[in-house]
Amino acid sequence: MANKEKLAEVFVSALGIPPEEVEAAEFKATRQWDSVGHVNLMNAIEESFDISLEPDDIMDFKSFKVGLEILGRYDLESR
Amino acid sequence: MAFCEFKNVHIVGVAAGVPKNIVSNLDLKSGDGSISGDYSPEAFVEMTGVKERRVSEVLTTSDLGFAAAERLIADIGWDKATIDAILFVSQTADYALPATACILQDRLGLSKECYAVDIALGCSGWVYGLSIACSLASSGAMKRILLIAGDAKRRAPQPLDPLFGCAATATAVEFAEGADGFKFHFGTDGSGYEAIIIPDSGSRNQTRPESFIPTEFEGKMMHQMQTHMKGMDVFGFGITTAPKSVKKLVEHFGFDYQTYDWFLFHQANMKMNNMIVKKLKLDPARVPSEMYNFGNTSSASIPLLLVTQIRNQVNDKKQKFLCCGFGVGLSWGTVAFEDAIHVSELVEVDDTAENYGYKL
Repeated sequence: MANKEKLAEVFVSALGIPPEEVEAAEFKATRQWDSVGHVNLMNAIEESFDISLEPDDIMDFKSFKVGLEILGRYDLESR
Repeated sequence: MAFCEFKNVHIVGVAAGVPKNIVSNLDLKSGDGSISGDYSPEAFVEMTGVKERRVSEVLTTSDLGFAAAERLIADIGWDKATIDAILFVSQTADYALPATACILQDRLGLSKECYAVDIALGCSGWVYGLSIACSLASSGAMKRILLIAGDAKRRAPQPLDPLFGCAATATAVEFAEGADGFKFHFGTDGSGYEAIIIPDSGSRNQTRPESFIPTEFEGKMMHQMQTHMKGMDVFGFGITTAPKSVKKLVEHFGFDYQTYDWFLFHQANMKMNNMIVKKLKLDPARVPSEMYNFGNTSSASIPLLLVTQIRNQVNDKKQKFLCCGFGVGLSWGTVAFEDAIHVSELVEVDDTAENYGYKL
């Protein structure tokens, strides 16, 4: 499964938002994505992709779009 | 560089006191000021990891600390007259003044030849208090120190602070010639003082009628006596600072933390702590958690882990511990030590009059 689709699935399950809202999802602007939701989301991404996100990346991960760019910096292919 | 090491001192024992009364966060109601209206109680428990808490609207930190200290002193057989100092670490003192340590000196029946001091810290407080106890005892000038740490009966009724539980712990620290002692790292960033704050009831903003008017804060209606947390700031601080402090400590003193038996972290948020475990590549089996049953108990959280989670595995056995407290201040501290600690059974304190209201 492509990383974009996999990330979208994590957003849906971790934040409980409809699939059609995932690509526009932004921290705080998306009601379910508050600070508590962010902790949950980051945990879910680490588990799903089997990575350990750098603290700066966790703090910068403020939208689905930016998050996809951040994930692109990790070695996901070999996993 | 805030590193220090104290030799010739060790922990004799640890005890903890909690209210007998248990409340469940599954009984909270969305939008009543306890949790954000965006969460069901089930979702709140899932997201934070805090299902149950020990709470009391009458027992103070010193009431719980007194109960823990009495149990500990009896268990380790200390003669009260030989206790040279009592340290009280808390952000919920009995009174604006005097210091609660002074009240506990009398209530516990300690000698008047006793050093007594309050230390106003939260999540990092046990580590700081331990360092002060060690500094007093390591030369042998003082032999026995009693460290009380915890928080209870906060400024708002308990349902309004659903992450937090009440607990106080007692730690007995003693001079011991030749003991390996403790290695510490400390840090502070006061620029983040507003990240975790009760805005009113101190000298800066004294309690006034407006203190109880709820206003919106991070999506939740809160009054000024509730604990305000800037979630992202706290999260970012926790996942960054705790692993860094651990790594700084081990680099400075040159040891391998993976050889340690137990990693005791302040209990702030279960998922945040899970991330810290991953960042440090720790075996989760060696990182106990008490969030589910006790919530965030501030400076009590680390010793409470010994009492409630790993007592059977560590009681009176020599083990290596690495402990990290981090939070309000912002303040953090990490300590590494090897010791055989007597761990007393948990003391559950009920709300009956003999347990509170000391000489009201």
